[in-house]
Amino acid sequence: MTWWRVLHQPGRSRFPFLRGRSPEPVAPLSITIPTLVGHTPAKLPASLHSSPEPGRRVEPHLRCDTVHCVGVEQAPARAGSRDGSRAPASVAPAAGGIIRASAKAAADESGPTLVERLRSVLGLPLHRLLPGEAALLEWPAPLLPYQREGVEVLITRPRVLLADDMGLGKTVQAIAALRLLMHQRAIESALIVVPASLADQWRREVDKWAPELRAVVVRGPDRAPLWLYPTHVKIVSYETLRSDLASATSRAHPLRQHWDLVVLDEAQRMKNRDAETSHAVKRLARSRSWALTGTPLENQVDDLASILEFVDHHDDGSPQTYTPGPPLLARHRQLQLRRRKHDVLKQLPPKHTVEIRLDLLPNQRAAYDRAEQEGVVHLRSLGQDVRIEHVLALITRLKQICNLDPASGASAKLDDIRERMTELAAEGHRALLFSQYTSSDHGVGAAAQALSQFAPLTFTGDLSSAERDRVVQRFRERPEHQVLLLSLKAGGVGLNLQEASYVFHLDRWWNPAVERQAEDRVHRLGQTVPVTIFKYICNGTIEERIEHLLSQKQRLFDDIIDDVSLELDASARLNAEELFGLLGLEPSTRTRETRGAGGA
Amino acid sequence: MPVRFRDLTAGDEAGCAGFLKFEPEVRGGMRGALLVIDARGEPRDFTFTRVDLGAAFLWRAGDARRRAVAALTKALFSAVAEAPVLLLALAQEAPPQVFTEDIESAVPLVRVAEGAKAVQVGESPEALGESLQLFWATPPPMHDTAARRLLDTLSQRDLLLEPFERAGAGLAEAYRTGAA
Repeated sequence: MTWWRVLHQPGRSRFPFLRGRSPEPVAPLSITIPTLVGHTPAKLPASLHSSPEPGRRVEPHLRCDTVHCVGVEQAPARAGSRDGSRAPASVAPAAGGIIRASAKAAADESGPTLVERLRSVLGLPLHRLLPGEAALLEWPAPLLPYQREGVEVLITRPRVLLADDMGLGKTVQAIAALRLLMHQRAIESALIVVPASLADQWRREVDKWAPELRAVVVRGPDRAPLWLYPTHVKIVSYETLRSDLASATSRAHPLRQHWDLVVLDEAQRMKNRDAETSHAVKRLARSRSWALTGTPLENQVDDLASILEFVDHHDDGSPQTYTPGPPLLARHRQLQLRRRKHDVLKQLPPKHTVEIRLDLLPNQRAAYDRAEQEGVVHLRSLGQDVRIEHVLALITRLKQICNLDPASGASAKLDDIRERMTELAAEGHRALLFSQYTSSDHGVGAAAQALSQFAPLTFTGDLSSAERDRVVQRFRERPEHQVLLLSLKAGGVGLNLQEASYVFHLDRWWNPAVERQAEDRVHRLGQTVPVTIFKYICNGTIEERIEHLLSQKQRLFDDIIDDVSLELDASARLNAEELFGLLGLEPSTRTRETRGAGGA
Repeated sequence: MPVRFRDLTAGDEAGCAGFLKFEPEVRGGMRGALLVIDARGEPRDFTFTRVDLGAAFLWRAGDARRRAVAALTKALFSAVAEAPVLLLALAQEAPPQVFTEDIESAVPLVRVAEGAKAVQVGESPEALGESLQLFWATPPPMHDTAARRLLDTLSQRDLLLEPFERAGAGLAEAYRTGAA
């Protein structure tokens, strides 16, 4: 070293009262703190250094290098073995040399190494990293108190079901926690599994909330090399993950290796434990599992059990099994963090739901009655051969006529919506319209024609990911588009559309959670005006009977998720009896025996 | 397709600061650590060691501490992997003579005191804010030098004292087993 020198040699006459040996320190141990991926700090000459621009705070950067220990002769940390931990092999006695080794290679299965322990205590304290007055990290916006609490829970617990109400910022909490864990060197690899339509949005959010982290969306026909990219975060759709995991037979494939963190967004996609996707995701070897969903129960308690099987993982990815019952209930209490909008967002404008009951227009009524009579006669004629699919087909047909009779073009709902939109648009309000159908006969396409005067934009599953982004961007930036028409499946989750404050449900989906998710595109953080939801029910039609079932499911959700004290054997599965009952029929014996998951 | 990348070196320009921490041990020895952090407070390097004072009872109390701190400092300086552009020590822990008579540092070195905790006779501190005093053991760095800029940055970020706590925690962790 040239930057310091000894002025006084110990043991000489400067200390006249000294008797005995001069103090000789134990040879020191020096630990280079690991940094994030693929970058070693450059030793720039001082002349190249420059101060940050005034007022600009430099973003801390992360690098994830291997941990290097520099040991010189006898290392004091060896004494660490007394408590069962041990110094890394790299700091074993060495004759005055410098030894470098990977901390991972030195990790002791019996517990964290000294390097790991030091890494933990020497990191910046959490309160200096989280947004706030003395924050050392830059954040694009402050976190609300409940979000900070959520981040702290995610950081401190390896298994979390974050079940906040939609619109409370689950994505932001997850990214903030992920970022802090990276900074604290607690994790080095993260996999985020999302619906395909949300992949780009997640990457944008990572760029925004953790700008120093590198994220890549793994997709496309030539995606194999993307798994090998040295990034902090990989984002992948459920479908791609399932497919790639099936083809990744080699243990060396990155997907088969251990992930420090796996995050599932819209984790209700895991509700069916028998689905291939569920199997695939649960097989991932991981240290931390976070499931994000505002609706961990959509239809039945089994939904929740399947999600918890992911959350409450074994580290090696071996299967965990839960079935409805008290153990599930108890574990659920330990794993779920759920905050409701009205509890934490006092400032969030209210959401009013308006149920509109309409009579079908005469032509529509005639078409409906005819379809129903013919359909029921057809079902009866099938006798013992009648199956769920036949019933669902008839129900779909009837629901579609409730939207619009294609023969006459009559639609009580669209007439009402057009009338309301005329008033709303005149006042400068904008709206979303959801339908489960995309066709021009009954769904989004029909609404686009009926509401053409409001320059509608459409968002459906037919659009590519880039096209969807463009539609959303256009709606946000150009107020002349007064209504955005979305298919419930493609646009019901993940989008932030606070530019609108009215939502129309042209038709009803089979469970209320999905409808709530759609409504929360608008009723979420950032909304500044009250939100109004319009739901349509046509009198004297199957929609009235569906509404009754939806109410039952809503009660189940409220009881199990918001109040887990309910008996867990309750179930509002839309079973054969219920489906047939919608049409005043009884299922055949064979149907009772073979009933599987229906359209609900 | 080009590879997306981000230039991560952008934060390095301010250099690193080393925080010297000294703690007496119950049984008469002394521990020392040098925590090197960057301008954002991120730890970069941690060097630590300890020393036995042996027959220190024969020494004057001040001499024993000074000898121990000097010995630790030399050891730490010898082993640290990354040379800082600024060194800080707590005034109440590090006798001024160590850095004026025993060791000479080409890197600006300042002893920091909170309030009037460690005002030494004959020392004229530089006040920093309302509660901190700086006792320079080397000529104070001129304005527009890397050391001064780093000092200002650390001060703005409230990072002039907090790293000493981390260094102390690091020492406690390193010797948690009672190795001393």
